[in-house]
Amino acid sequence: MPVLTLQQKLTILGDAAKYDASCASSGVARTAHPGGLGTAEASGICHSFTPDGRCVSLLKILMTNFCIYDCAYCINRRSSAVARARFSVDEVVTLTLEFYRRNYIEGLFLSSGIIRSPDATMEDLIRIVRNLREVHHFNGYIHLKTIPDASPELVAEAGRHADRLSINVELPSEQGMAAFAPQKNPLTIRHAMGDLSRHIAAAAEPTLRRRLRQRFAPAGQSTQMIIGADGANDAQILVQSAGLYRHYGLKRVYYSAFSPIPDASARLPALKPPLLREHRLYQADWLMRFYGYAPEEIGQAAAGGMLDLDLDPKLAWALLNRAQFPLDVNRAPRELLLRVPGLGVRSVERLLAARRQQRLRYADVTRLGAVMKKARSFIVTPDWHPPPSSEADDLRTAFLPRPRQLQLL
Amino acid sequence: MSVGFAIPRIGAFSVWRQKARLALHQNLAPDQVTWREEAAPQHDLFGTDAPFCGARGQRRFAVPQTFLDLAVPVCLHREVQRFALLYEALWRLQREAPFMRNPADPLLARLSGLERAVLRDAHKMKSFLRFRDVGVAASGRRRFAAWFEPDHYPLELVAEFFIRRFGDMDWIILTPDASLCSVNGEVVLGEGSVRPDLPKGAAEDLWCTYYATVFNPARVSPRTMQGHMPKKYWRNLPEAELIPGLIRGAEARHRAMVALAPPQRDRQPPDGSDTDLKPLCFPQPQEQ
Repeated sequence: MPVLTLQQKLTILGDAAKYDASCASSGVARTAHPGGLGTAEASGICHSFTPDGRCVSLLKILMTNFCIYDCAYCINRRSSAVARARFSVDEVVTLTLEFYRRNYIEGLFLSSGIIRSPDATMEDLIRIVRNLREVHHFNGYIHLKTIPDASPELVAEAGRHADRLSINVELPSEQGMAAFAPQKNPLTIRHAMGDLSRHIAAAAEPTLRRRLRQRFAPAGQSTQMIIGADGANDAQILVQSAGLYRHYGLKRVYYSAFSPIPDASARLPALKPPLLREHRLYQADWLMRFYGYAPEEIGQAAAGGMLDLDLDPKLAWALLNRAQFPLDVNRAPRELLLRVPGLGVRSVERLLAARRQQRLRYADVTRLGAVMKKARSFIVTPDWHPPPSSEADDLRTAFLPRPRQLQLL
Repeated sequence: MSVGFAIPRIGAFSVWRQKARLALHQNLAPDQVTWREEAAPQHDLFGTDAPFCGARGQRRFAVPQTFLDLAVPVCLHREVQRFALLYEALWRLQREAPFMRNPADPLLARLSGLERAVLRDAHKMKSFLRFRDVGVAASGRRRFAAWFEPDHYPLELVAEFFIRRFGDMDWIILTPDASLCSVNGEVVLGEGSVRPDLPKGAAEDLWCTYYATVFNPARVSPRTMQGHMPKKYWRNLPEAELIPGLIRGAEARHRAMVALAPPQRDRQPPDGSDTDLKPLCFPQPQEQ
């Protein structure tokens, strides 16, 4: 095998990692060591954006893209003809530190193909992050992909160094897993996520003796699901996500629109990735986490189990539940205000604060940051009542994207 | 009678606070006070210039913490009315206690808008500022320099962030209006500068390689990118030079991938209509 330059390795191992959607650097505030390198901001920072609109926050690379598994959707599967490479410990450490010093990144997201055995791979990953933390006293963000079958002692050590750990659930259905990732056992994956979540919860409790919290993945765990590769519909996916949030206390579920990859497997569709579908799933996920929607409620607005691509899920739900609207913004409780299209969490907070001081009129609601183009059909103020619309369809048509006129050839 | 105050660009908030206390002590209504930036040379025809400087014992006025949290970033906005608006808010705060608690108040909404603009500007500075390697200092510490062109004056707001984060190296951040320099952990806020000529280094090539690599041509969406990273930042981002080429080549790269894909054997593209799919279960942890 020819000797690869650092530049070549970065090309191969950066490319191999880019299909992982997670790039968050949020969820933990690391205070600086005086005179040291690195901090982490609670809200995370995106340092750049590529022309696909996705953020670059972490140096996201694989340690190696050699892999003993053969998952159909994965560019690194054993049977793929992509170029292979492997970083040394020093190479990853140098890249991370030099990028960090120039303010290109918040830290490192390290993952790997499985080589030799799950434990051997996990040990190699840990060697890198231990070196960053203990030799270079690097205090930036580290996200480590955890290998489901790795031994508990290794996972414990990984959690001491990393801010976030993640295990990918890969596909939303059992059939999908059996068809495309036959060597991965969905049950093992879920058990590993359960173990992680208990470990994270236990470490967050102060111990009796020292009243100090142990350090174990303080930014929690996340996961990723590939959508559009198997036949699961949006309603099924959202029920899965809700279960993952509830059972394992996940910080995030990432949805990755299945994207054609170089040297793709014959069993998968070569298509434009369903980006709009992915976007609607993220919106629905947001509604479940911050707006109090149950997955079934969102599913109710998804005809045939698929979210409406023309309207965002909140608007779609409101149009189906017109009986609940319009709401009087001066009286309606918080939970209902959160369901008004055009009102976000922050504008609802501001609205609640303002109405303790005065009666809110139309112009006041505008000033509070509501998107009135949407909100005005669903709210009542002393000086505003939405025009009665007998047919729900009228309103729906008003919100649909304008039809584009075809061009003559 | 009208009184005029001049506020310097650096340290604006603490000077404004001092002057505002004086004005409030004199019971000067907002329309009796004019505020200007010290750098701006025009004089207020009818005003006397800051007659209380260094005068008598300073009385303190109680304000809620939320007002201070708002005033600090607002002072860093380019809006010329900012000091006057803040004084009007302070004046009203002495008379209507709930003023800060009503986000629907037009004055508070205006100030919050200014605050948001400055906070966004500060956030973009933390994100898009790029250091370049300028060698090693006599002390052995590595030295880095950066040039950034913000919309407002966020340097004082982001100083803390850079000081905490880059504690083991010497660095200087230059902007048109102010500069911030840290040598051996000693930090100095200084005058503005013109665009310096900073050397590209080998790490920058690696970074550009990485940037080009993580771009997925099948997902190209320049509008989303520009929403997050508007063009005005591009001239100081080393990776931005690659953007036009990446966008131009995306369609062809994507087509090539699809064309190279082997013919599909047995599958139609899935459309979510497969309703017999078995959802995965959530095993509960076994007690040990």
